Amino acid sequence: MAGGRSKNAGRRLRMGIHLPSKVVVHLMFHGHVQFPSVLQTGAASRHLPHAGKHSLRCDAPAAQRRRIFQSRRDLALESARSVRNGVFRFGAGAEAVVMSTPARRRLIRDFKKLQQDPPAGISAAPSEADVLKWTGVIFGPEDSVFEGGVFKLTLTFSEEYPNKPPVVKFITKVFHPNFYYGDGGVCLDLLQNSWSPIYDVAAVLTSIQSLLCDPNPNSPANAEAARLYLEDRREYNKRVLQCVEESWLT
Amino acid sequence: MRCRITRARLVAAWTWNANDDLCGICRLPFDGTCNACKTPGDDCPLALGECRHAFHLHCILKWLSSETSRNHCPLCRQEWQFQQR
Repeated sequence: MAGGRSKNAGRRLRMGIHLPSKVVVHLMFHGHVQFPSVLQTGAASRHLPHAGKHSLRCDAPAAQRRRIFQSRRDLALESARSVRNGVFRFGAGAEAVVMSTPARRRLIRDFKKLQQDPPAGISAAPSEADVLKWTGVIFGPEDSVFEGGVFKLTLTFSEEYPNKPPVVKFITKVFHPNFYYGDGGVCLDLLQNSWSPIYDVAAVLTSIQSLLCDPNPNSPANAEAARLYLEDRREYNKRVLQCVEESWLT
Repeated sequence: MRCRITRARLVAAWTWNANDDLCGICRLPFDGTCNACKTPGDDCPLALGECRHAFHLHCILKWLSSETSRNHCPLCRQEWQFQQR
């Protein structure tokens, strides 16, 4: 038992020395690239032989992990480049599905605005097949416990947008008083009762980003996080750091 | 020197008198249409509230009819009243 554990610890230490993720992620994301939705789709697992459940296992051999990181980075850079160059096309056969409705037209305007003047620390793009489904990335704000975190989320809009708010869910697990740890739901009044049609994708993501370092423990979605935030800030920070590190892997 | 004008062609332009260029709801110019219309002008007019905020008439009507709105102005959250002129 003890032998097994020390073997494991050795592996973890080795990974810590390589830690390609941290360096790569920083170089890759700090230019506010549009995060490609392709990482979410089946295309990702086709391109990446090791993607899927297996890639998230921390006990995978270091060489294998490095390979996964490199292929993910290449794929992300390639997609980011095509988005930057204005390549924004709908999936094959989507013409029948994609009708131009007020909600979709508004979302395309939102996307253009995001590209023209991207707010600091966030990034989002609609999926190729459906403008109503977006993938966003929020970078942990600097000088906060969440610094360095790369948190991915999905935004699902309805045809009533902008008169109805989108449904926002984190894909990355985030330890935070106002985020549900199970399904990644966000508890934010702006996305419920105080929604207004003047908000757009950028406004939604920036408010979630400011909620990251300024939680509201009085209406907790994650009771444990709220309790630790109020009573044991050190333990809270430790748990947050843990989820920041895990966010490099997902 | 005297000159007599025999014929003149006058051209006038008009715009909506809003405090903003874009409608906050659909993000399209007031001088164009809302994103559900095709012809600008009287077919897609502008609506002013008592709070002096302007939107396309169609946009604000759609917002007021959704239950999320609770009859509030999207910009200042006061109760929406159409301005009487």
